[in-house]
Amino acid sequence: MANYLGNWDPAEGVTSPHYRVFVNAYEALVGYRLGTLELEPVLAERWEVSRDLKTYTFFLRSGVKFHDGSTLTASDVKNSLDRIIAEKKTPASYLTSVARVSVIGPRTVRVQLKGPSATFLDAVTRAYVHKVPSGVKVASGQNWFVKGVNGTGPYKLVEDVPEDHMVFERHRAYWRGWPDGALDRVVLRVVPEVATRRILLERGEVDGIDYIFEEAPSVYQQRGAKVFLAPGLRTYVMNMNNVGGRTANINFRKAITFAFPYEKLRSVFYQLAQTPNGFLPPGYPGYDASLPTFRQDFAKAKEALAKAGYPNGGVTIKMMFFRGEEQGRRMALLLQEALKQLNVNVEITEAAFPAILKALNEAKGENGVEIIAHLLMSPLTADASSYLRLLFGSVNAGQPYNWSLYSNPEVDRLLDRAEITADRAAREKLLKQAHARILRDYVLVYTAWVTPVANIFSQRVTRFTYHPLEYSGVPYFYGIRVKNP
Amino acid sequence: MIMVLWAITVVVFLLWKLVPGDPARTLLGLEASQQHVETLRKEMSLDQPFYVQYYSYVKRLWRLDLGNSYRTRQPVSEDIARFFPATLELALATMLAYVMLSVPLGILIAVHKGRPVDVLVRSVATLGAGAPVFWSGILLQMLFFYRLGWLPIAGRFDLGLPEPHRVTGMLTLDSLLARDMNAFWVATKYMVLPVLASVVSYLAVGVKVTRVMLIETLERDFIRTARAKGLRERVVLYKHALRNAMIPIVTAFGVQFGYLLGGAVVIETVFAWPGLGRYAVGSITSLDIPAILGVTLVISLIFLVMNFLVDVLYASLDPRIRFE
Repeated sequence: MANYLGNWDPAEGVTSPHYRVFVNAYEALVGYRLGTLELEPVLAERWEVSRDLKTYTFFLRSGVKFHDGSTLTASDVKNSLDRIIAEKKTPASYLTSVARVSVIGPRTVRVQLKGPSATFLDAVTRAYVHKVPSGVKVASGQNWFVKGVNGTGPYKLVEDVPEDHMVFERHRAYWRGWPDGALDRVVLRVVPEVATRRILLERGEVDGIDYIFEEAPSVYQQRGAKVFLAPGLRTYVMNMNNVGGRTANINFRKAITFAFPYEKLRSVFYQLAQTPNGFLPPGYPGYDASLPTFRQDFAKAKEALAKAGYPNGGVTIKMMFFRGEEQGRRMALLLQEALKQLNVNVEITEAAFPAILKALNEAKGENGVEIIAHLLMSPLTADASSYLRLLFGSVNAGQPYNWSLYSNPEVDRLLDRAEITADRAAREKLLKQAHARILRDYVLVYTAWVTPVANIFSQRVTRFTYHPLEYSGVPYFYGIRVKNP
Repeated sequence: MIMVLWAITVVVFLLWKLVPGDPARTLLGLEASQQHVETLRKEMSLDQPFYVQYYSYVKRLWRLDLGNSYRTRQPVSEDIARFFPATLELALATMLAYVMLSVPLGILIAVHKGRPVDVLVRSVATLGAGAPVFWSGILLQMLFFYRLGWLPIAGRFDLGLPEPHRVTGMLTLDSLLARDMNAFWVATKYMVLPVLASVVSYLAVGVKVTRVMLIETLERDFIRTARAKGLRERVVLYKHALRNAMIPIVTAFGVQFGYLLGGAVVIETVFAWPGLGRYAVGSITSLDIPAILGVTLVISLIFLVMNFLVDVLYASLDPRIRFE
């Protein structure tokens, strides 16, 4: 693995190094069947939803053991959810709709919501159940979960040497049981340098490495590695400033959208990318196959630019991309080259995160930066209404990740309605309407769907299932099979 | 020293204030609500005037409290105590190899000034200094791990083996204390490549400084007198010339030791060495201000201590120098 964080609190962590631990050591009441977007019972063997969509009652599986050997109870679930909410960190954002969690019986928990929600089960998939091991005394003000891991997941963390390695071993009493060929022990080594990782893989010292587009997967294949390609749900976008700079004008945004060289960008991802037709990718709720695929069209770009008041170009726009991100840099250069043909100059700034936050704070007005960074978006649940709200909801304008500061009451209404619509087909229709409305506003440049996703392993690995709702570099150990485990 | 340290705290604190970005937002995560961010800003006194924040910062420093890391949630002092021994161990081993190689080589080429061995050693050392350390590091990995399979490529210890009981945090030293020669051998093996990569890039400085200072000293009158007295060349070289040439050499080595500690980032990244450099990189990318400030202070303190030690060494090398 390329990076390490050193804080394993499920009430705090939201990045790939966190999820590497969470998905293997912790579990939620509900989850997604591995490799799909279908909900399945996990710690809750079943649930009931009230007709008004405001009350969810979960019936827990019996005999589920934590890593410390204690048995899962309804109180453990209540304590976990309450703690996540009380900590007020990012994972709490999945549970903002919760009004109250109550223990109904030893294995029954009731969650009362503030308002109706048809998508609460999706949110619950990211609320990991955790507890301090029995017999462990935690001093006041101390947070045991920063270093300690005690969940019900298939693997327990038995060794954690910061910035060096982590060792996971089977949780023998795991409730799903242990199939033949499952991994006994998993060692994650922290190796930040890509060349070192590749050498280790080639020499057979490791069985898998993090892959972040440093080289084409074929290069690894030629050197004897096994590449698992799986459909992904990641969308690469460039955030156009909707409230300031030249891009406050919808026609200017339209011109940029038509000028972007989508086909050329695919080579940046070694052809592991598709030209999109919108934000929501194939396989995800709300995806609309009938929408036209984006393509570079200078005639339309010129027409839009003229409508924006720049028939002959002659204007300069500012663009920022994240420092150190090669794909962002190349995307910026591609746009710069394309807009030159419209006589639009792009001033590119490589910026660290704080500088980008500053640009967001100063986005309004004529001097606002027109393109404020790129984002590689990846949904963590199958709830498309929340996913769209994150990027396009008025409530998030200027907040992560609505970095375009987009706001449209009609979109808000459609997303709110989708969230309380239990009927799948009706919800899908609403999502498609919201998505189409967003596209008509040319909010972002949707530059690529990054799919398929490449996962690089040694020839020893015989089975690996990529989960599209996880970050890349977050393998589910339980689904991996190797020769001679 | 105290004045310099105080100045460092001011500069570091000012730099922190100049960095755009909100530590509270960084701490809570991107998706946390603005209301939560504001509450935390108050808790962290970020809504207080600048001088109040600086005052509370210095007050905590006085109690050796460097604050808590946003990233690891641990006290920064504990994090530094965990990571620093690995960096110190590597720096000490590098310094040892560096001095043992560069001083004899410097003497050799000073004595044989202008001859083929002089040209050869200087050329090779300059080539090493010209190659970026990450590049020479990867080349060494390719040769000694990938091709020959003699040395481990990265890390600090065999994952299957139990580490020696932690006393100093330096694995070689701890294994010696535990009288575990196998562990000592394993820990040493892991150090060879990073040490070699560092020495390759620093060697030219040590060799050339030694050479130049020795040549200059060998041409001075007292050396001519020593030779005229009929002293043996070995005595002239080691007892008279080298000792007099040592002050600038020690100064250069002292400064370089500080650079070794401060510049461990690249070598620790290439060789996956879990030291302070890696901790610093992780802290910088996460905008972990307390950790960045803590590491900066510690590295600055080490520079100061090294300067002090070099000054002390002057007195033992040159009897004319005395401290009052």
